[in-house]
Amino acid sequence: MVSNHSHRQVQEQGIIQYIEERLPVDGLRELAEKKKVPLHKHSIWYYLGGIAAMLLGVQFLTGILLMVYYVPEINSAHASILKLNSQINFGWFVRSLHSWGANLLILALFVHMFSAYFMKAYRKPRELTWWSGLLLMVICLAFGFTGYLLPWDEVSFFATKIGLDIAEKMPVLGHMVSYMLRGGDSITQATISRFFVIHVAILPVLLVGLLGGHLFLVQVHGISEPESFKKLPPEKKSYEKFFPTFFFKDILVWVLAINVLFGLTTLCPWGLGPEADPFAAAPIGIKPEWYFLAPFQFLKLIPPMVGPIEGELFGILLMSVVGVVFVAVPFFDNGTSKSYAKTATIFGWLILAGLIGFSIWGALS
Amino acid sequence: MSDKESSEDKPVAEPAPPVGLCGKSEPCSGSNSCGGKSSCTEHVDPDADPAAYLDDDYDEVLSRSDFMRKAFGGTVLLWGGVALAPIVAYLTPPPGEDKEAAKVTSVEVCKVSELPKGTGKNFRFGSFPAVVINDMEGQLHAFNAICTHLGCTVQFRADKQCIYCACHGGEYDASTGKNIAGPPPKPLPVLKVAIVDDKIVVSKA
Repeated sequence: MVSNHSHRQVQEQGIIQYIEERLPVDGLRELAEKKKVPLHKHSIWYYLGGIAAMLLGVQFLTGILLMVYYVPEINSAHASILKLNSQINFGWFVRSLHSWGANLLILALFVHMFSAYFMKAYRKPRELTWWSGLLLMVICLAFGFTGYLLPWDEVSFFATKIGLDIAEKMPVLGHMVSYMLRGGDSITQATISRFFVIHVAILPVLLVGLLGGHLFLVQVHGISEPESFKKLPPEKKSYEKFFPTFFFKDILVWVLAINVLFGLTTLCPWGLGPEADPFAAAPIGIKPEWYFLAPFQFLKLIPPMVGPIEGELFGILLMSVVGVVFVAVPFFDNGTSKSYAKTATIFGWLILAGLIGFSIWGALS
Repeated sequence: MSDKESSEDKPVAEPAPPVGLCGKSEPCSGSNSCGGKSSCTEHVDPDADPAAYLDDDYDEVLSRSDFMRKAFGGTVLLWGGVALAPIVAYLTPPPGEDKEAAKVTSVEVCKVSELPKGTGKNFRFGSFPAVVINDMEGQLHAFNAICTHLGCTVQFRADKQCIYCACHGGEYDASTGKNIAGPPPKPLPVLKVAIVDDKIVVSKA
């Protein structure tokens, strides 16, 4: 027994030595040792990025599984999802996980983004982290938009129609881009093929690359500390180690999030509407996913013409202003002016309140 | 020997002063022993001696590297453009892929008896959706059913006696197609309706 035990120890040491001689393990170990997480009353928001990353993992796994049975062909797409839902072992579960996972991921990203915004984590030197995060958000919304069409049911058809028509209204490149995405003037097989390729090939590559950069930047700069914490004298600042303390808490939170996801998936499996008919009327009461409800409701309210511009173009431009402000906020609120900082915070609250308010209104109306 | 050593060592240790490579380690001041200005200035560090910019020979060297840099950038852009153009062309399908459908000029929708007063019916008109309405007075009207707001397909609503878009709540007058409520900016394009052999036939206006 003893000799057996020591033999194994020798083997393990051999493996460790083998790796250490070939990879910069010491550097990584040092990095892991140094990485620390500030402890303050807002620390809870630090978990959101991790939750999003975990949910992203679920999306990759379930997405790959779905591709085995999904057929991106206009006459078979809807039927292949029906088959997944009704005949394939655990098919309904995998698909529901993917749909619910996507929704929770978007939710986690919104919370992650707004918490970074309000903690002013976009300030120097973290501008690149902030911008890469915004781009990742856009990529994830594009995932949602392209994935939504693939089951080819009634709602997915009209959601795509509206989305591409909005793109078409954009000045200059709008028509060319929407024509290319749609593969013509109307939504056809060409659109399904294009959205499928974007959803399973282009966006994943972009996402993995950009996420790598985002996470790298987080390691370079360390975890952002809110102003109130930064001002404290050093003896009053407390930290915990990332490895293993925060890491294990992270895993615990992941387990909780997975439970929420599995609960939703099992208790309310994702449905499938009737097959899309490009020549039928839009069904009464049609609504987009919750994360597009706010712009949906907003577009409803705008009159046909606002001055010389068409209402929807005006609405789209107005909504783009929000995006521009989010991109430009590191320049505006760079930490040198208190009043600018306050303005940025108030703007954030207004946008958040607007998003929540319009979403609820859209859901109820 | 000692000369060689010093000429190799000095520039590394003190890169700031411009050093001639003509075998001496002294900085070239224009009137030194390395045999004249022109051979020295070729090796001048421009950061260390701003006056070197004024030298004709130096300008030539600078513009050459500048040219190479620009040529490289230009080549990259050109290559990018050359690669991108076919990709964009590849992704843009030829127009009129559904040419046959677009050629349709009239459609037989249904029998008159199948569309009672105060009802409407959606149907396919070649490449686009259309709607035909039999109003309360027994008048027939037909329109292109693509909402002028964001392109959803509209329908006739018997309860409101108007054409309605379920996506953003736009409303159109059922007999003229005029936009009367909600966000649509324009009226619906009108189609011609006729009764031929007891059948409703819709054609392009």
